[in-house]
Amino acid sequence: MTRYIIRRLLQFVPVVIIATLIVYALNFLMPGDPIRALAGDRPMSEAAMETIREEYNLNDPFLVQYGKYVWGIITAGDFGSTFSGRPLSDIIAQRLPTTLMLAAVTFSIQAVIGIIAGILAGLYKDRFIDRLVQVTTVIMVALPTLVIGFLLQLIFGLNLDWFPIAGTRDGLVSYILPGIALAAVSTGMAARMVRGELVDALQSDYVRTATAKGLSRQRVVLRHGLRNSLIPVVTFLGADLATLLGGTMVIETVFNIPGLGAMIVDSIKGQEGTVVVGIVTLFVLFFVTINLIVDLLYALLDPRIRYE
Amino acid sequence: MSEKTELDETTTRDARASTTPPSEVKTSAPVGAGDGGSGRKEAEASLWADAWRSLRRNPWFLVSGALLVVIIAMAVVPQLFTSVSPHACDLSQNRQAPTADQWFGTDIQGCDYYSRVIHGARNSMIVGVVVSAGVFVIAVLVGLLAGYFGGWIDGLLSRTTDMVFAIPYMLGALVFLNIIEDRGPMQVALVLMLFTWPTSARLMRGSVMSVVNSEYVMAAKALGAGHVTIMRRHILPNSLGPLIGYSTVFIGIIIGAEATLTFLGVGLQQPAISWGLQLTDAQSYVTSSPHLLLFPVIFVGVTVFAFMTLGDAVRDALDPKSKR
Repeated sequence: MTRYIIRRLLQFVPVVIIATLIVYALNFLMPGDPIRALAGDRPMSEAAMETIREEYNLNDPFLVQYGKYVWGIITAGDFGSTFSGRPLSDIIAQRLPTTLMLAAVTFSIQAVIGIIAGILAGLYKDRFIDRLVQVTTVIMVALPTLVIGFLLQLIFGLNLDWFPIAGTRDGLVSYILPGIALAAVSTGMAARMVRGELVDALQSDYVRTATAKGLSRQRVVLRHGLRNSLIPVVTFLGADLATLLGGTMVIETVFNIPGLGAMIVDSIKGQEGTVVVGIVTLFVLFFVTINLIVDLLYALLDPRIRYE
Repeated sequence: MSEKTELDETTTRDARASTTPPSEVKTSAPVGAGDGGSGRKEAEASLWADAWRSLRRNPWFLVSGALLVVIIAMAVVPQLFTSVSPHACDLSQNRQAPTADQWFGTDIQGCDYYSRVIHGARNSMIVGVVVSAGVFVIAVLVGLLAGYFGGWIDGLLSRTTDMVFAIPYMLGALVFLNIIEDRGPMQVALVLMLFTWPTSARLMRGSVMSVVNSEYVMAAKALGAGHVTIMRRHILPNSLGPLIGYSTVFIGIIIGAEATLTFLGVGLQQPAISWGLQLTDAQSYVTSSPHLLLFPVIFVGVTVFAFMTLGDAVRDALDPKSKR
């Protein structure tokens, strides 16, 4: 186990370096000269452009630029600044709460609805509620987040007018539709997973023994059946927290939510390279770290798994 | 991106399932014998015949199969569905609501929206099929080499796979596509391929590894068969099942991803006819002309749904473990 943890930690470092390097490199290849774009129609003196290039390390060789950039993040939490001079850490600090709020709403929906639906379907296998959950989850899992987002917007936002269709002015209420849209795929998968595990568990020997001992049905299901069924779901939901960040780009754009995901999309359109690299790097770091934690958690939670 | 979770989940699910070789059936006893097909010929008990038999009874397969036939026809010969040209537009008639004459109304350029939406199927389908086929080839190569040879080849290939896997594919594709100035279906497809192959490669490696130590492979080795022969004759046919099912699901995932990237402004570009572009245009008029949003959303949704459901059904049918 200790060896597994050490090996996993050692793998983490090169993955982070190469992944961030790729993102940084891609942006390096962005077309056009951002300094000229900044100057707009008015011509800028060569000296002024040179000063700006120097300030953003644009004259250094590529790897040196990357090195300076990573050094800045590690030592000072400095993700660079926008071309208009605003530090990116400012923007992140301002927009991160919005995205975290969206992530929190999404995650709660996935965990609560997914697990409850899965338990109901598993307990009442082959009954109406099970069939209902099965059909619903097939549809939820097979529709892209984008489509679910727009459908919710059209039905519950425009047609029924129950929820706002854009922005975050109404507080928690404005996060509900985007949260459901973002949660749909994983909720479906979590429900299916809980159902499958619970059905297996309820047919297992230890549950039969518990029933034979005369324990109440409630105690058998809760203490014996569910306990083992929830392990894979916990790790699945954990891993999903990481991928959820990518989904924020789409959903924040669909629902006009001023978070980090929408910021990536906006700055790509505006060719603001530093912003793209900064936020994407942040996302990738988050993604890789969560995956690491989940892997370790999985090994810890499930004693059946042995790592040599 | 949430589709990514489908990618992840597939790997874990198949990793668990792969403790039994997917199709030992072929070389050992006929598996179909148990479920009442006693009078059938030996040939019909093969993995594929068996899968086909269980597929025909699966309602999800029938529904998604029927939908796919219609959608593929739409992509290949859109003229079957509409005689109106998608380029015949009348600006004075823009953003009209649906009527009996123009079923889907008109778009912001005054073009017949029904015709535009029908013609949008082709680009989505090209991207989906090209990416899925390309990733299939990469996955077979990487999975076979890594799973069969093991050792440093596996180490090198698996670490490379891990690196690419560490980048969420939507983020990678978004940043990469942004540096390409002229983006047609092929450019979008290539970039998506670049970032999405790891899941399939891992899946393939897993199923190769589950057959590589089986008796029939050892027997072939003992009889002096070469690496290429063993891989082609014994390993490939017995490890391809999960990847085939997943590749169908994958077409759906990619069509969703393409529409999303195009909607975000880094996919296909005007004047291409594409569902993603229609969504971008429609978003600005969502309150005044919701029909502009509704129709492409339904078409993208149904297409992705059909591929993913069909792929799931095929995957279940090809997995002997899932049979009851």
